[in-house]
Amino acid sequence: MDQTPTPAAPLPPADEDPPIPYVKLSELMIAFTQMSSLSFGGGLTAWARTILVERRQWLTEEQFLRSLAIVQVLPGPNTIKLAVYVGAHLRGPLGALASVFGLIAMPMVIVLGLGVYYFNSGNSPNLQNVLIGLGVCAAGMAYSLALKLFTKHSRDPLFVTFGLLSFVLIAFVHMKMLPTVIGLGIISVIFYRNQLTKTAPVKPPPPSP
Amino acid sequence: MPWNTFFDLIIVFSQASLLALGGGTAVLAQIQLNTVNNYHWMTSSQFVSIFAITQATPGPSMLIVSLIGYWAMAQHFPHQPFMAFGFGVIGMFVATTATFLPSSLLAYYVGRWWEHFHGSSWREPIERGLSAVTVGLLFASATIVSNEASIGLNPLYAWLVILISAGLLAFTKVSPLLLMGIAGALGYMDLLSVPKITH
Repeated sequence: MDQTPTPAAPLPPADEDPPIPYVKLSELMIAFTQMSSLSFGGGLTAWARTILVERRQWLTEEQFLRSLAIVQVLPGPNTIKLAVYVGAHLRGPLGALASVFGLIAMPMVIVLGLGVYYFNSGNSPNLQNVLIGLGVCAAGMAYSLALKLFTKHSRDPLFVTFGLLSFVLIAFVHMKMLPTVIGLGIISVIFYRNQLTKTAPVKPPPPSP
Repeated sequence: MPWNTFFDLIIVFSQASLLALGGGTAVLAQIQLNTVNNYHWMTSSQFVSIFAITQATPGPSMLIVSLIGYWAMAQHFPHQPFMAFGFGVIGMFVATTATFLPSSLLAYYVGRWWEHFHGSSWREPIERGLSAVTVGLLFASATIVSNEASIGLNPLYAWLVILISAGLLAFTKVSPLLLMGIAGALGYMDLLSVPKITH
């Protein structure tokens, strides 16, 4: 069965996956809670892989990578989407709920605690100063995410072009985000498809006489 | 009565959910605009502080919406701490659900359907194209948020910290917690602010 060749190695087809293991909802919840607490400071995807693929062996490496690839395209925080996708894969809608709950229950409690403290803290200047400093660092964190993603594809001229376009249009021309993303998104997909079908002929050339 | 706020929270955050390509960072600037400028749930510096809190704690950084939900409801009860807390927690759940539900539903349904799609010649262009546009959105959002975070601060120092932490986090294995600790200390020692004119 021929498929249009793509530059990256295609992932093995879904029907080669092992049967889905039976996983208790409580185990699912605990696994995602582990992931959440271990990734304090970052690296949740790495921990997700370690726990799901190596320790618990609920997914193969390929299944995990495929899950990541699929959910990354969609909007929303990657960790949540991954939890939904993996949870649904293992135990359907209830599984999705269990994994998301495991992922965010403890962080929400922590965040709520700190938030309530801050809300009731009045105008303590020291606290305010610390938070201002943290805020600046957090802004740097936002940039670092963009930088990481950019450097992965910085040699792809189409990528750089569309990235730059959307950056400039949104940050400096002040165009609205949703229409810009949708519009540029559609155009970029067309350009990429064009590039793909140009470099990968669908039919082999006719044999020479 | 604060009922309007419930609806506002739902509207703002379900939209944000679908715009959050590449994660919460992309839509952070949009959330900030709504929270501070459009709905006046908190001031800009309060927003930056809440942003900092959610970055420093475990879990997705999009949990900022949980705190915004809390704050948006609680601020209707300035002198009633228990009401503030009670309504605040409800607001927190409303905002969090509004944020995570749309994108989760999308992840659930598209995820199931995408498996059958994986041989198509559209799949890689879609992934690449959206990825490229997302990067631009991420940079834009980070820029807007950085501008807000630098208000009242010496712009040179603020941007130095921003760019240095960005570089360190992107290209080295420096612990984010360490960087936050240093930044917090710098803030505490008041080293980042506009120098006060003393006569």
